[in-house]
Amino acid sequence: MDPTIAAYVVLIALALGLTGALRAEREHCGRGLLIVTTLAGFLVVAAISALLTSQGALELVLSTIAVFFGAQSAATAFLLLRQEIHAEPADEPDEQDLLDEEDREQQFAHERANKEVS
Amino acid sequence: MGIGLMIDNAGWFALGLVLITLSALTHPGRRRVWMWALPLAILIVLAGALFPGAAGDLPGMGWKAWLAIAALAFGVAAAPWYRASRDQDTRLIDLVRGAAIVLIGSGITITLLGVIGWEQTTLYLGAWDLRLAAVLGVFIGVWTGVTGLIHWLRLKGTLRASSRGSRNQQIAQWVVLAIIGVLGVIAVAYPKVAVAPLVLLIVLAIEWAALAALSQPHEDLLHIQARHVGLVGVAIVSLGYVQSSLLLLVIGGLVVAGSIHFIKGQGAFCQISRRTFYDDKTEEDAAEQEKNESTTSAN
Repeated sequence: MDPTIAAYVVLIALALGLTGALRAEREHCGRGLLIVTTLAGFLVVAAISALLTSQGALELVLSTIAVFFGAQSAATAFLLLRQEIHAEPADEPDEQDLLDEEDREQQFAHERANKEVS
Repeated sequence: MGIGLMIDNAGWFALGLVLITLSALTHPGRRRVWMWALPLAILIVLAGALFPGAAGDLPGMGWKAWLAIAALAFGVAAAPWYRASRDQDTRLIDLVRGAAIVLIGSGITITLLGVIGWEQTTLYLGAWDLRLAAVLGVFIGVWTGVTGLIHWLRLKGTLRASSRGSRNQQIAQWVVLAIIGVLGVIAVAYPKVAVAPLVLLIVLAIEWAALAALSQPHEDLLHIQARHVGLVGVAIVSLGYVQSSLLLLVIGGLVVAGSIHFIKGQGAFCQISRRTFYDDKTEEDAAEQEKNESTTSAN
């Protein structure tokens, strides 16, 4: 493969990941790590292509073991992600919403106080 | 048709699915069902690579495809099946332990793929870039796998953390790392005499990674594991380069970016907020929160 093309593709993917695609809320940051850990499960694709193109008994055995461990780690990563997503309370109010609510209440209190004074 | 092209044919669909899923999962209001799209994307690519062999279109690949499917099935069955719907108190399966298992598996896979790549590329003297990718893969794989193993044994209680080494020990560790680098360069540049340097490199890498993993403080484990996820991303990039697959290059870049995000962002997890493992940290957080609350109420 042409190294220039490879470098361009990696750079674009890196920029995409750093700017847009993975930018989550602060409280979702841990989830972001588990998402990319699950994405690292694509390692098993590389292991499988090594198995399909293997030429000899040693390579065959090694790549079969690689596929086994790759599949195990990919499945474990996905199950961790699933556990994390389910552990998140479903109807948790957004932090920003809470702050807005607080602001609004303070405003009401102010208005009420002003009315009472007048 | 090259194997990279075979991956990429189905890979375009998988990549689209992955990008949509990323935007859905990082958005707070979306539904949880989206997480199933990630394994689906991996399955699409696997089906694209395996189907031509399993259907008998490519001679000599049929039984290998079935062997691959069997190994996949065994691997998935060997994963620890966490049940997601248990109540809060019994959900005590440690995230860090799970991540350590992921690192062990990925480390073994990367090391083996590096060894296979080395086997295939030492024949051509000019292919130094492929040899570099293979040596890099072996080093990253050993480092990641040993770190995961030590973390797992530490969490199990089999091993106890050693104290952070003295200054001399740290200098010695850096010297060992430099020797590893020199051995790697020798192996890449002179493939005919490379077996001894390569074996020495693996032994030194095991020693180096084990000592480093033993002296890491307990509360830093998750961050170190995040760093290793980034290293796995680097390994995926180098594998994509060797197998000339654009999909693997993109996925590797995304994994590296996510790991950088986590290390910079000091992320927190929902499922470990009330773990004893993180007691100190949550107490600190609670104290800080109380302080904030008292200041806001004073206002």
